[in-house]
Amino acid sequence: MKASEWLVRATGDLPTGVTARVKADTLAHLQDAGLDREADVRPVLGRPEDTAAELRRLYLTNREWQGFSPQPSLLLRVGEGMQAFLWPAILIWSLFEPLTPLHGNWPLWWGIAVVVSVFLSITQRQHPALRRLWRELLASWSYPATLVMLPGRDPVFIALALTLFVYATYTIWHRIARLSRTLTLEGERA
Amino acid sequence: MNTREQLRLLILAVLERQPEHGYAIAQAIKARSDGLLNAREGTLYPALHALEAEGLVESQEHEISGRVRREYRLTAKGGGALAKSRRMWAAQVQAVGAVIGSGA
Repeated sequence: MKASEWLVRATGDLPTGVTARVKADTLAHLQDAGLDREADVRPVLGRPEDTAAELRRLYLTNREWQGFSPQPSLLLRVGEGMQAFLWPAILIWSLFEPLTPLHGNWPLWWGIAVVVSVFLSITQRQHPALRRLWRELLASWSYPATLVMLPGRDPVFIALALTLFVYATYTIWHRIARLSRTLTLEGERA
Repeated sequence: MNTREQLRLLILAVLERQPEHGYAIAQAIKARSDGLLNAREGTLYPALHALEAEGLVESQEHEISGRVRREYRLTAKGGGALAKSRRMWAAQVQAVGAVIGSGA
């Protein structure tokens, strides 16, 4: 397998900045190894599928990257707007629902309000794509929080809330890390 | 410690001595292990990219006799991670050794 074919298989579905960096690294490596462009590179580089899998773990695919378009659709913008109101809605709800743990617990209420405000303010300065994911993370925490605050607080709901919290945090955090790395190689400020 | 973590440890250990470019890292791993450890060179760069994103190594492009090479260098944070990985590896080797014995 020639270097060009190996590179297409390893980087075929990655954004241009990521592809350029991997290509530069790999071609320099092959030059140092004394292999010309027509030689079979598999004995040196291994299977391109293995490299592709490692790269997809680190970076967004081209399709995912295109999904973070600078001009999101109206539907997406409405969804994001609703996400931004989830925590304020929970805080307002807790003012009127006496059975929530936040009701009357002003230190906790203000603590959460300050954390949410600071979070929204910090993310406002980030790249729009990254901001969207950070806010998705914040919004995802509102679902388990609502389950915990349900009147009665059934242990099953608490367990479900914890599972949701861990799952959402892990998956969105992983996407944030991949997006941050991709932004760096695409030459955009995270 | 899985294969990916082992490769990270090997890379950090090579860079502890001096900054190197990718090919030299692969060769150093091969040479120091008498050819027993052969870094899958196609996956070397994703590992280097991950280490760089975590701030454990940093890289810079240099032009050497008309050829552009990216040189990787261990950071202070990378030095700390290397020390921790070494301790983990030593504990694993000791544990496995205790189970399998010397065979004598």
